[in-house]
Amino acid sequence: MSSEGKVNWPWLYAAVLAELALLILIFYAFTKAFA
Amino acid sequence: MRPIDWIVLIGTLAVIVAYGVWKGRHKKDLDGYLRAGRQLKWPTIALSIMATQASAITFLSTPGQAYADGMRFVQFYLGLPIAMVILSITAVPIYHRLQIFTAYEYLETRFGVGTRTLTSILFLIQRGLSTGITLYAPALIVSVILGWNIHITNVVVGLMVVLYTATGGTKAVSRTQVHQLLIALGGMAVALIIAIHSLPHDVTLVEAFRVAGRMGRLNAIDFKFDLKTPYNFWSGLIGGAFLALSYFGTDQSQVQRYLTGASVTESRLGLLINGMVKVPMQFFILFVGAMVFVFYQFIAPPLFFNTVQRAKVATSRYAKDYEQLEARHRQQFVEKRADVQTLLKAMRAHDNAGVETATNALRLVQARETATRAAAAALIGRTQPGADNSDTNYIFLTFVIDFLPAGVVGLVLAAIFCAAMSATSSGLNSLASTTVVDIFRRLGKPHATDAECVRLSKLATIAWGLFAIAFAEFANKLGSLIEAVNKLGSLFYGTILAIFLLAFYTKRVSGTAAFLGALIGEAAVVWCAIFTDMAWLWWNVIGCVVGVVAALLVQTVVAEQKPTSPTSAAV
Repeated sequence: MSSEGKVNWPWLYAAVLAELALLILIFYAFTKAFA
Repeated sequence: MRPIDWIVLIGTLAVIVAYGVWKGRHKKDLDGYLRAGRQLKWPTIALSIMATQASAITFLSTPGQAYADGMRFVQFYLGLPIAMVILSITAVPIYHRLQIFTAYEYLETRFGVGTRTLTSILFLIQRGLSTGITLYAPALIVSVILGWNIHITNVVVGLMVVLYTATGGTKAVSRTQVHQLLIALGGMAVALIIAIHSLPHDVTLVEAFRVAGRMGRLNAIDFKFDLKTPYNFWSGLIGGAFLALSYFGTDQSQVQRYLTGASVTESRLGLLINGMVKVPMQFFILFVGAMVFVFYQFIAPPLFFNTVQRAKVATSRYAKDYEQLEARHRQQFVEKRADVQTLLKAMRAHDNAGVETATNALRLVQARETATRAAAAALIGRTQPGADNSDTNYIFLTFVIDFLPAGVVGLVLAAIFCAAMSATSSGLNSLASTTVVDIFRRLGKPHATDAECVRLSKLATIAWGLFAIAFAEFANKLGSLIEAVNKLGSLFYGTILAIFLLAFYTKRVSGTAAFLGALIGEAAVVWCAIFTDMAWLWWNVIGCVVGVVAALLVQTVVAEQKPTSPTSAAV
């Protein structure tokens, strides 16, 4: 990701939300795995 | 504290302050002083945004919260990435196009000077008080655990922040925050490694996880919908998103961080990186607390972590009762440690039935221990009515002081004070901007020169710094105050967000309709706060939704009301 380079915003927004979804899944698996 | 700890602590803080002063040494115009000349790149913006939100209490209290209540607090942050995306799409381009200094300046272009002034004043009150708390909280905790003089700690830390914030302005704040956050996270990482390393040698990392999980400390996600539970998936995702939208989109202490961006791209990237890093960062800090909890399953913890309150109750007429509770607590610890060993043996033998039996026994003794701790807290409450009888904030630092090696204690203390300084500096910086741009230059002296405004901004930073130090000096009852300030914020954040959303997304809603809508939204929040058991995160949703809907209805009903200024700022 460069300050000067072009950013594909829709992809970046999707990446942020996808990371959130992934984190929720990981946290849920973490909760269940050690409960 | 050993000499090496003092050297690390004083050396780190001195370098940070000197760096801040040096970075902000060049003479500036108002743009340079309040927006860092709009030259900052996204890594600095992202770290500055994170450092603004992460105060010392984040690093002190959050591990304690995981110790006492598990990791479910991480859900509070789940709405944050969504808010970052929404703000990147909407607020950032508007703020950049209008080239504003403060978020409230934008409101005037849409709803008039009255709404701008009202929101500015609400901000000054709320942020002024919370900056005092930001300074006060670590000073109190350190004074209790280490016996330092709280007044001297407050004044010294406060003056250090004022020194580089007043001289260097926003650029000094943002540049120092990068290093402050890295030091704070580094200190926590070292503490985590040592906590894990200090576990008995026959206990593996996975076993430590399983013990914490079995004892309810790795409860990161709870999908059960319950309006009365403070932290679950739904309140975090929805209520947290509204809170983050309001905090990052309308609170000048945050808006000022990304107004420094060299372009829309830099500001957006700063916000989005914050959205990607913040949730894992909070998970990590909570995880430190969970590991400290596991550590204290093998080493006896004190019944109550606040040593000052402990000393007071020991000399009160409840001393005998407290001694009995301590004896009971010691006995429960011995039982619990035996149950943990039984659990570990069953795990190693892959004996599922044995694991279940040991877990049930462990949970029973843990429930009894929790009741004993609650009885101790109640006793302390009776000894000193109105005293802070929660010891959550003291757990992590007690562990650090008692068990971390020489040098590392100084590093963790430096981390905590760096966090306090970074959050305080953003607060002072934003208070100065709003005071000068929204109040002095707008209402007092519209034709003030840049030089006058810079001089006044420096004076305002010093004045707000002295106010924060004074408030910290007179503040007490830490626990209730922090809760009060958080709740106070949520009383207004939803309504302020409603005003901004109306400004962003509607073209025909007039200033009057927005104002009336905000009043109705605020009344709904107050009603919920007084007459219902609703958890406070939901107040942000109520204030925003009711405020927007009411303003739209008022605008529809009063159709003859003309919009104040159909502006190009609306999207």
